[in-house]
Amino acid sequence: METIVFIETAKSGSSREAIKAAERLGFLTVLLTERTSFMKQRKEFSEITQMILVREMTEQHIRYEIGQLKKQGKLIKAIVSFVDPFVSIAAQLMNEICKSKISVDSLKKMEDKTMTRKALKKNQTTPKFKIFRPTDDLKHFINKKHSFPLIIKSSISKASKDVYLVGNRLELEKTMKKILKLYPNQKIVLEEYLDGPQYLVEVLVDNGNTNIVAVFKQEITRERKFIVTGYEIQLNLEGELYEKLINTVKSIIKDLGVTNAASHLEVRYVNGIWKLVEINPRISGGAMNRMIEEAYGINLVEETIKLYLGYEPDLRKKHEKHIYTHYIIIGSYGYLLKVTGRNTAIKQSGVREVYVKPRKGSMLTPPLSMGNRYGYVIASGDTSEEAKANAINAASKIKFYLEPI
Amino acid sequence: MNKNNSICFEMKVLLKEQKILSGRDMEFQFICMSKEKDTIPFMLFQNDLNKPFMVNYKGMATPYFRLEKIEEEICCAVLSLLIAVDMDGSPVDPDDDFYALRKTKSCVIVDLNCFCVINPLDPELVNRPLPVIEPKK
Repeated sequence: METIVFIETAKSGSSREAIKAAERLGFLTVLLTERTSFMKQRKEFSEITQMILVREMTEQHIRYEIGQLKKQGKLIKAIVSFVDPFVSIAAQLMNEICKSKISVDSLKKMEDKTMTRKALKKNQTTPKFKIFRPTDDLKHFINKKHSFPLIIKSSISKASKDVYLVGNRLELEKTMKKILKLYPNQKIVLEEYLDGPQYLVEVLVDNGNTNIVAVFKQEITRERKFIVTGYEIQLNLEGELYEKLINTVKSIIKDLGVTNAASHLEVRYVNGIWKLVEINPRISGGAMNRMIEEAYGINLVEETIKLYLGYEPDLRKKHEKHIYTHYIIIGSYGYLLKVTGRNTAIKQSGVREVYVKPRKGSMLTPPLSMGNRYGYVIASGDTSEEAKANAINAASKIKFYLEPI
Repeated sequence: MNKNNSICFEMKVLLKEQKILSGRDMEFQFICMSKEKDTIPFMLFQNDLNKPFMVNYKGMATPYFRLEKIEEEICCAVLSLLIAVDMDGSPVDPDDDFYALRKTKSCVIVDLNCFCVINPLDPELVNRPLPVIEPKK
C-alpha cells in the first residue's frame, strides 16, 4: 500500500490537516511521534493508519522505523513534516528514499535563523544583525557597540519562544544569560528592531516558480512577548506596496536557492523597504490552512503534499473572500474550569469556524509564546473591516473560567 | 445528652474539629494557614437517604449547613444555612452542580434525635473564591 510518513504533528491546525489531506488522497498514513499523550488519545486520530511512538526523534530512529515499515510491505511515497525542526530531515529522507526533488539545503537554511541571515546577508531585506557563538566571550560581546532597541532570539526559536526585545545593555545581558542557560550550545541572533506593519506571506515554490499563495496582515500584541492575535487576508495585491513585496519575496527565495518547497515569510515594511523578520520551511501552523481554504478554496497542505509527490499543485483560486482570524489570549494564570460561549460565538454573523484549544483542568497563562493562544474565530465579511469586526465580536462571547492558583 | 444518639456524638466531634480547623483556641508557632477556613459544611439525612434535610432560604431550599452550637443536654443544635452558588456566584438549585458555598446569617434549631446520617463536605467549598473570567476585555 502507498504510504505517507509524517514526522510529528500538532493536535490541530495545519500539520494535522496535512495528515487528513493525505488520507483523502488515498494514502495510508503513518505518524512518528514523541508525544505519549497522542498514543493515549489514539482513538481521536482516526485518519492515521498507524501511530508509532519514537523515544527520541533522531535521524537514526526515523530511518529504523521507515525500514520496519518497508519490511511490513508498505510502499513509502513520501516522508513529510509540517512541524519544526523536522521539516528538513523529513525532506532529506524523502529525497533519498522516494527520489523526490525537494530543496533540502534551502529548508535547512530556513530552519536555522543564523544560517538564514548569513545566506541573505547581501539581500537588502536583511536587517542589521550580529551573531553570538557559544564560544564567544559574553562580557566582551555585551560591551561592544550596539544600537538599541534590539531583538534577541535563539537560532532555533519557534512560535515566538525565546524572542525578546531589549532596550539597553543591562537587559541585553540579562536576556543573553537567560537564553544561554536554556540553550548553552546554540548561537544567538541580535537584530535591529524593525518598527512597521507586519505581514505574513505563504509561498509554494514549484519547479523554480515562486507562487505567492496568500498574504496576511498581522495584528501583533506586544506585552512581554510578541504575540500575533489577528490575521487579515489581503485580497488585492495591486499597488506599489505589494509589487515591492512580491519582488522582495522572489529575491529571498532566489537567494536561498529554493526550487521545490513550501515556506512562509514574516516581513515588515520599514521606511519604504520590506524587511525579513523570519522565514520558515513550511506553512504556518494553527488556523492558516483553514484561513486560506476559506479565502480562496485552496487547501495548501494538500497542494504541498502533491508538490512533494512530484505532481503539479493546483493553486487556482476558486473564490475570493474577506477573512479575518482573531486569536484569544488571556491575562491571568489558573486552571481551566469551563469554557462558555462557544455555541453563541458560532451563531454570530460571518463566523466560519470557532476553535477552543485547552481542555478542562489545563493550566492557562498569559501569552509567553504563540502556544499560549487558547482559541480562535475565523470570520468572513463583505469587507475586511467587517470580517475583522465579526471575528472580534464572536470571540468576545467566549469566556474562560479559571480557578486562581 | 442522649448517649444512644450517635449523630449527637458525631456533631460534637465535628464541632471540635471545626474549632481546630479555624485555629481558634490554638496558638500555632509554625503553622501559618494562608486561607481562613472555619467551617466543615455538611448535610443531614433522616431515614430516607435519598432526600437530605432542607430548609428554605429566600425562596430556595438548601441542604447545606454549618454547625454553630450544640445543646448537649437536649441534643439540639443551632445550624446556620449555607447556600450553593455556581461559577458566576449565582445561587443554584440543590439538585444542580455547585461551585462554592456561601455563609448566611440565617439559623435553624434542630432536634438531632430526628437524624441518622451526617454527610460532611470539603471545607474548601465554603467561601471558595469565584473563578477568574478571561479574557476580561
